[in-house]
Amino acid sequence: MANSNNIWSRLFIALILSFMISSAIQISTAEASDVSLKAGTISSFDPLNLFKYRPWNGVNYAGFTHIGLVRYDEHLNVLPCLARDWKISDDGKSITFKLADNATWHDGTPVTAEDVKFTFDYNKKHGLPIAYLYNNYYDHVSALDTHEVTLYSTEPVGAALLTSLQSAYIIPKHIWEKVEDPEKYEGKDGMIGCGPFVFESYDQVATEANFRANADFFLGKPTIDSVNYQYYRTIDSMLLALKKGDIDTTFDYYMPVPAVYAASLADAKDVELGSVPDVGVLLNLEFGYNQFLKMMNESQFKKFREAVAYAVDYQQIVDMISAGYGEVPGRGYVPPTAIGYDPDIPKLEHNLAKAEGILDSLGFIDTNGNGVRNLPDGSELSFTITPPVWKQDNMRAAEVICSHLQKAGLDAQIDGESLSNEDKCHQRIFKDRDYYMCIYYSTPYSIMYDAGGVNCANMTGSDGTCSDPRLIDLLERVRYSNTLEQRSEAVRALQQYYSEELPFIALDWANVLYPYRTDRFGGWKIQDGYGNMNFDTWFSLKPEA
Amino acid sequence: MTYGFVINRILRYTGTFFIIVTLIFFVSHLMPGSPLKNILGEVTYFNLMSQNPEILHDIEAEYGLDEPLAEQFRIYLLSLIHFDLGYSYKYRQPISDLLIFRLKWTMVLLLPAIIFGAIFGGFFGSFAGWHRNSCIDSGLTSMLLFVYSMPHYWLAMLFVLVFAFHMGIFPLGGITRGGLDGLDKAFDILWHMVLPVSVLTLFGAAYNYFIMRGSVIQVMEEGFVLTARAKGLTERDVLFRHVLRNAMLPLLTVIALDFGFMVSGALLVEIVFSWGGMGTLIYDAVLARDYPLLHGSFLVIACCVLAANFLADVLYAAVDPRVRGDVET
Repeated sequence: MANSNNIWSRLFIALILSFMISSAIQISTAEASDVSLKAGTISSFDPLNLFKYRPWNGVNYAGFTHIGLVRYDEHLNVLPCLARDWKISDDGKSITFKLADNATWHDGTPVTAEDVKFTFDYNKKHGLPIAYLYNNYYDHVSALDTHEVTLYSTEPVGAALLTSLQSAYIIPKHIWEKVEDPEKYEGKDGMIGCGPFVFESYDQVATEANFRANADFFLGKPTIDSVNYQYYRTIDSMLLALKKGDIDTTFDYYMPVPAVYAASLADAKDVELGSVPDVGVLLNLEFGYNQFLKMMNESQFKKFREAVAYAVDYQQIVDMISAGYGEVPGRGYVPPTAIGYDPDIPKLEHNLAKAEGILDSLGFIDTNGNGVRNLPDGSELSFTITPPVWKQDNMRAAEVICSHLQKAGLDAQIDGESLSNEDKCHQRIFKDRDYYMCIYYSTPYSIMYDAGGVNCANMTGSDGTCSDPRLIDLLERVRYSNTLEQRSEAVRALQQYYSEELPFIALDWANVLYPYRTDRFGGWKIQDGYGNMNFDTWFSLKPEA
Repeated sequence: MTYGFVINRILRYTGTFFIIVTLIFFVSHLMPGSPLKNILGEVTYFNLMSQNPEILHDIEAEYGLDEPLAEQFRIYLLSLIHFDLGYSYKYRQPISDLLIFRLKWTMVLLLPAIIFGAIFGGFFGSFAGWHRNSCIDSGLTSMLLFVYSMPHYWLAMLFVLVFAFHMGIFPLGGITRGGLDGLDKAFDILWHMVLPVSVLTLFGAAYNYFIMRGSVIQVMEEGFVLTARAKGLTERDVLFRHVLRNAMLPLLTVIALDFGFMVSGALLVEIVFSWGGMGTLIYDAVLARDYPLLHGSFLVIACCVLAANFLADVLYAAVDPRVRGDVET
């Protein structure tokens, strides 16, 4: 009996050992034969169809297989991609693109102007998120010949439209014209694109996908053989995998690693922390004109905004929210990465004495000695600050801003009503717009569209509360720029206005952090805002010896 | 056990099931937040809310969210009658497919954990109870109390850090590596299971240990144990024929319920080990306000818990003649 137990134990140990050895051999063989980049994501995905995950997850892997008419370089300058050349019409209402002659879909079919036309028509018809800026201004698309196509818009938005087209991925007409419900499509050809990688496989159990370099890519074959894209449930497990060497980098579209992880990543062996300026504004303070103009007149309100701007300690916010990876913002709001950024506009300044001086000059004085300033009618200068309750950083920043303003004698409190009810919070910020102050942010889209006007102006296409005709005129000039030069000039004028009037205040010009390993690959290109997984990286990565 | 017993229980469980279905539906709709935020994406949703509320309303209508709640409930019940659980807003897949896939992996994780937890907890609990106040009893009780007082996720994180990250013996998480099949895949899954199953087993064992220990101690004080000893039975016979047989009842109930609740997954452990089971599915459904997925998931849990309860009732009646007697009279 004892002998038989012994035999079973030995057999079991031998089985386990042979399994471990064979696994190790498999791994080393795979690593030797294939230069594969391993990337981690925390966005769940199912890459059988780039439309399946509607908001943004699809953009992650769609960028491997698909390309737009144009692309960005490291500093977000627009470069040719599927389109080798373009011309914006004089009235700014159309752009004509000349397509690359030798581009083909992954199944070998040539890419034509008909595919481009189909892409925009199909996006519009099904309300798909890709090319959504164009969706707003869609008029029609004409295929002039096999390789020439013109996009027409309802408004003269040529320059803004051109810069937004890099993520407007072109799709093959011969596949999608047969698909009535794109978001439910399960066909195996749902990921055929004309981009630098070809979708190879997806393992639903392992939650990983593989993309093989496209040897026939018309701009050349990427320098790596394949990309292995792995899903992790939490950012902590993904960063552990990065530090351990299971993956080479993290990749989620415009989702940098939060700054709280910076310290642990900076200490990790063979891990580099790519830090580049953000393309949006991470945190801002939006004034609610509707509410404050009930408390004071326009001239008082302008000075009040100035006082608030002086009361805020920007460096503390940069240190607290961005772990110091950022800078105190300028009065002109738009970050340095934006087209038309004016470096001569001064930075915001924390100066409590100046804030108090301005409030005193307005007659907002603490008359009853309770630490809160009073308005001339005797009522207390009390108001609430509304953060979007689903954004942790905004909640923390709102609490800190309350304390800054309280030091200046303003009774600022977190908006408890919105805090306890997300629906109420949505309604207050976007529907009723009856907040006093809102701690929000500007997405790259809102900077690209109208230099953040979306967040402060009360006009069509915006969520803000400022109805100043001067602001609206300036914003229309930005939105309706015919050329990039015109847009640049309009953005400069708008920054000047922002600096003088402060309809909203940037609280943190953050740097965004994208970590990557340096032991297996060198030559990473870090794009402003979007990080190290970008078009340039596919052609610059070099396996380390 | 009679037909009356079974019919009585079936009627009771059917009523309970209907109440649960109703509660699941209405409580999930009471949550603040709209599923459209997830469906459309934050930027588009807020943009529409601010600029084009009528389009937002059209989309609501498309998903049937503009109907009064009572009407939505009626439609839901009708689809349930046709065994149609609907389509997930978040995953854009039929809910039945999602549930089958996730349930399979939840069971792979939890079934061994529950079985091992029951075996270890039952064995050590009996041993400690039988040798009450001995060194082994004190040692086991202190150690398992320490384990039981720790949050699941903390121990899970500790295991990941020590055994996966620093020692590199096991993978950091996931169910398997990609690109494997056959026996390789099966072994790889087993290798990925070691840490999460160990954590869950430890907790299950700790919990079951205290139930079993307490139960054994209580039974040992009963008069029939004294009688058995007075009859001259050996200690082994007293333990196995009298004490354990009676002390097993509370443990049986707990294990049966564990099997019922098994389908709800082990959320925190699943999260730490990136294990795609029911726990994370339900969590995602709550965050996304994915009502059809929430309803489907809770429905499955409710069915399983009721079935497990029913099983516990039957087992109880089968094992304990007193319970059987109560039912029959």
